[in-house]
Amino acid sequence: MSISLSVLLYIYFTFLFFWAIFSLVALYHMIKFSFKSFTSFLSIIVYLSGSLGILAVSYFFISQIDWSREIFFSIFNSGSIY
Amino acid sequence: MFSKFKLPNQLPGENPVKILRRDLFILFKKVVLVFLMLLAPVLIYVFLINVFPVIWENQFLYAVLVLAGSVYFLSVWLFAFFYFIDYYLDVWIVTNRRIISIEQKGFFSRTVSELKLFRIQDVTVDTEGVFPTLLNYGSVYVQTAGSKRNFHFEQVPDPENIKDEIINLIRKDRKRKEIEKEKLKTQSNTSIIK
Repeated sequence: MSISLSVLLYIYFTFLFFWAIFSLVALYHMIKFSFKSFTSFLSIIVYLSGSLGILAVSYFFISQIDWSREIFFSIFNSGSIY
Repeated sequence: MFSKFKLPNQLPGENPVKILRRDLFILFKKVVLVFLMLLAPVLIYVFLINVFPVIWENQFLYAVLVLAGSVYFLSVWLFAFFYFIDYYLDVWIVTNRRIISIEQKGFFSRTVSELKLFRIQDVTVDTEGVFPTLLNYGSVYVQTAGSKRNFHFEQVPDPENIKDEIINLIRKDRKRKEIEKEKLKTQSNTSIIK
């Protein structure tokens, strides 16, 4: 049996979608309910920069993988994946 | 939405006296936890690359580890931000007229309640444990006579000082109330005489 490696990427994109929604909820809370202070502004900037940093590093590693490759599962061959 | 100088439903002549949050040490503990959580996969990566270098030659495992790493870091970062929001948005505002409690509970729940100073009957301080004793933080319980609802300032810095300040403010507020009552009485008396 074989499936495309890109299936993993679609699962990852689904996670990213929910992560983005929760991030927006968090930012909404911070903007709407916090005191209009330097601390709240700084926390938003730090969160956004950190998120962009993680996404950039993720992209760097993800772009090096050939996602069009097929994964072969063989339960008869001692369950190996190659 | 309000700022330090704009209280929710601000009363005439009302001024904020203290804005309280949990002690910074509570935030520091969470920062250390997040830092360790972010560091753990890096150590695991260094371990795997030295002990099992073959793992990185398998395209499937490599892809899984890259995506899992990204998911892990993004999740920890998001939860760290929610930790901070929970810390930052839990506020107790002590004014010269009332106490306002604002609590962020989880992702979608938020409670705002208030207590008039003249209704307060008892203020109790509770400092328990090694760190609270050493770093001088603890809980302050504000109780009223009639209502069952009591305020609980959790893990606030210098609780004894907060208690003293609240008691002073209660005294001043009661005096103000008495003066207002006296004024009303004299006004009503003069209107009856007229």
